[in-house]
Parts: sequence; structure tokens; C-alpha cells
Amino acid sequence: MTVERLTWNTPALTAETFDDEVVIVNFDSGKYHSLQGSGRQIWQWVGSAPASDTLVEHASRTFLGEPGEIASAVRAFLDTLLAEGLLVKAAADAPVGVLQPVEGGPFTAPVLTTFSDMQELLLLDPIHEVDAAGWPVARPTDGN
Amino acid sequence: MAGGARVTPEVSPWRDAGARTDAEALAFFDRCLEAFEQARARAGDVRSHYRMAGAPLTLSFAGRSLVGDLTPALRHLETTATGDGGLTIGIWDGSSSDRVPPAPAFTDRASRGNTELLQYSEGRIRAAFDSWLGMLSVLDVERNLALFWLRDASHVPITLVGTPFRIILQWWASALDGQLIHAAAVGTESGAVVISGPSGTGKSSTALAALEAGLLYLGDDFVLAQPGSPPRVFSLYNSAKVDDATLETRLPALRDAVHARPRLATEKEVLFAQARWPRQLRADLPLRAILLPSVTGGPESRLVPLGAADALRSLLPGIFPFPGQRQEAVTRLARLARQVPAYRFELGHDSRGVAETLRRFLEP
Repeated sequence: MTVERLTWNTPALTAETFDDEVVIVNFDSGKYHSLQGSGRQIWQWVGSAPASDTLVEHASRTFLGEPGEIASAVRAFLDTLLAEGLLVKAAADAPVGVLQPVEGGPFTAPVLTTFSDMQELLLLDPIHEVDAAGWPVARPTDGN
Repeated sequence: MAGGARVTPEVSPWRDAGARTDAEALAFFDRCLEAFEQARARAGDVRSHYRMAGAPLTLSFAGRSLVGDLTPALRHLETTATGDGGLTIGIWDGSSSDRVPPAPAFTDRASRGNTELLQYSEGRIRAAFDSWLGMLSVLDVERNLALFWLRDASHVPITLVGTPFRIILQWWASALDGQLIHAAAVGTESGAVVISGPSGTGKSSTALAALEAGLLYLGDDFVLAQPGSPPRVFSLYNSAKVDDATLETRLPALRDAVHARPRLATEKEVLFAQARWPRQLRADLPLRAILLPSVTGGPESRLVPLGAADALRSLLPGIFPFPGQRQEAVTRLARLARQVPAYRFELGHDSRGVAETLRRFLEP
């Protein structure tokens, strides 16, 4: 039984919701992510800072499918979002919102796709030396 | 450098490096301004005027050492009139003047660990130092006055020749709800498409094929996009970057349009559309679509519909060169992605077919 409450890891990230996908940019890691399938709806529900068990139960009731399989997939998805730093544990005094009922339809597995091309560009910066004036000077091997 | 303290990049370069007080920021800007004015008094004031995104822009160089490298990309926007209320950029360098910008008062590890060495991303003063290029950009939003200093004028990297002042221009464009995007933009009188994608996906060669075929051109590397009804795209630079292989195999007729300059073997060639296709340049056009190019190797070119989220994801990596205000940038790009359709542009091997596909799509 997991009773911890989860919420979005703001302000480290920002998310944009489209018809069939959520695009999330994590300003801390420099990665961006795509949530598809039921992941889009699960992301919306997390915004209410629910207890994870409540959310899993709500998903199992909403989507059509075998409840045990849905619960298992949603739990694994929440764990993945936590590990990626997209979710955090909500503060104890954070207000709890209402998990909005939606037209469920057949359950589709939540899919998280992570893109790191932006991160690679950001982390390319070489080690620099700092001169006496305080301005860094690129080492000769930096290609300057 | 002997005796220097080694600093390493921060793990999280997205974090703004140490927000400072407004008074510290203003004092830093004023010391930079004093250094620039001294350099300009000695070397002479070389001015040129432009109209960009409908607003006046003035460049004031201290001497001529950077004029030849930093003005050709903007030449298509040059005007004779001095506009009121526009942005002015003061420019000097460390090769021809000993008047260097002052070292920042803050020297903590975080502020020196990455290319955004010192940075104010909010408030009146914006500042960023690119330690790789030895390039300082600062802007006073209230005075609409920016300063640009380059450590070494003897080797200006091609990225600066092709797209000068782009950090300053992004700060300035934010006030117009504009976003510099890493994309090419071409079109007809009825509107433009932006072609967004990482290097190697055919973005530049598509833009050049369009130019060769007589389409209108707004840029190859960075253009300014503004959400709205309709959204618009503005030209910033008339430069185009192209690698040697593309010139040899796909666009040999453009070899004589290349801007002659010393370059590293790893750098692309740069050419200026203003020199060869001046009548095909446009300062702005309504934005009709976002295209994500994909080289298929097949004979035909075609457009395949995509979703708005695909368009946003393709535009996101382009915000990395710009310090600060990244949340705003994401929101602005998402609005843009929702306002125009997106397509995967499957590029056939015939460059004339590529341009013809664009022309047919843009027919009113």
C-alpha cells in the first residue's frame, strides 16, 4: 500500500498539453519528454496532488481493461516519472484537488519518451581556466 | 592558463547563475558602457542603421575591425534613416582596444561554470558571457541599449559571421512576443514556411534549393517567429550555411556565391543571399506551416501531416543558445505550434522537386 502523494516537479519543468500528447521540458536536466497513451491523462490527474493509490484506483475505474493490469502499468509509470525527476512527493500541507472523471475508453499503456539532444548541446561546454581578471579563457585544446 | 583556478561546468546549466541585485547589475552595465565609449572615442564611431521586425536597429562600432564580419548578415535590412526608439548595439573588441569590459564583481563558481558565465535573465539588465567564443552580450532594457564585446577580432567564428548578436536580439525580441527559432524560412508572397530540424536533416539545402528556384527567403539558420493572428516570421539574417559536400553534389551552381573568409576545416561555408538574390529577400511574411525535413533518398518530395506536439518538439532544441526566460520561450513556441499546421517534409533527391513541392503548398 502506497499512500504518498505525488505532484509535478515545478518550477523545474514546464508542460504543454496537446490533443494526444504532453510535452514536458525539464529545465534542471535539459531533457524534454513526451507522454502518450494513457500517460497524457495520468499526467493531468497528478496535477491534483493525489495519493498515488488513489490515482491508481481512479485509473483502474476509468479505463476499460483488466484492473490489475491497469494498476500495475500505472504504478510502474509513476515510478518512472519519479525517477526521471518529473514528479516529486507533494508537501504534507499541499492542497488536494479532485481527480476529474473523464471518458475512459480502452486502456492504452502510458508511454514516456525522453529526448536528450538539448541536454547534450547544453553540456558540451568545456572546462575553462580563469585568469587573474576574472574572465575565463578556453584551454587551447578547446579548439579556440 | 598558468596560475588560473580550474572551474568545471555546473551539472545543471539551465539554472540561472546567481541572481544579483539590480544595483549591481546596473553598475556592471555602466562600467561596460564606459569601456565601450572610451574605445569608441579612440577608434571612431562607425554607424549603420537597419529595420528589423518593423523596429529600428542601430549598430555603433568602435572602429572598423568587426564591421566586415558582423554586418553582411544584416545588410538586407539596412536603411539610410535613423529610427527613433529603436535598439542600439555598441560593439568593440579586445584585439583593437585595450578597453576591456570590467570583470564582474561576482566570481563564485556557479557564475563561471558554463557558457552562461554571468547572466541576468530577468529584470532591467541582461548579461551573458560565452567563455568559448570570448563574447560578452549585455542589454539595458530601459535604455534599449546593448553592448557587445568580442575578445579576439582576428578570428571571428563563422557562427558570429552568419548570425551576429543573436542573444541580444532574443532579449530584445521578447518584448515583441518574438522568439528566435533555429529554422530556415522560405515562401511566396502568400506566406512562408519554417523548416525546423537538427543539422543534417536537409534544412539548409532545402532553403538553398528554394532560393535557386526563385522562392522568397527569410533566413537559413535563425529567424524570428511571432505567434498571433496570423503568426508571422521575420528575417534576421540573409546568411546561409552550407557544407562542402552539399555544394559539390547538390548545389554546385552556388560555389561562386560563397563568402570568402578563412575558416576551420570543420566549419561550414557561409554565403549571403543579399549578394546573389536581393529581390528574393523579404523582411517578414505570415507564417503558414512548420515543416520537419527528412531526407528519404526517394525520387519524390511530399508533405505528410504531423501534430502540433511534433512541431513543438522540433523547435525546442533551438532555445538552448539563449540564456534565461526559457519557460516563456517554451510557452511561446507551443502557441506557435498550435496556430499553424505541421508536416514532415520528405525530401526527394531532386532539389527542383523540393522547391516545386513548397511552391504548390504555398499557392493561395
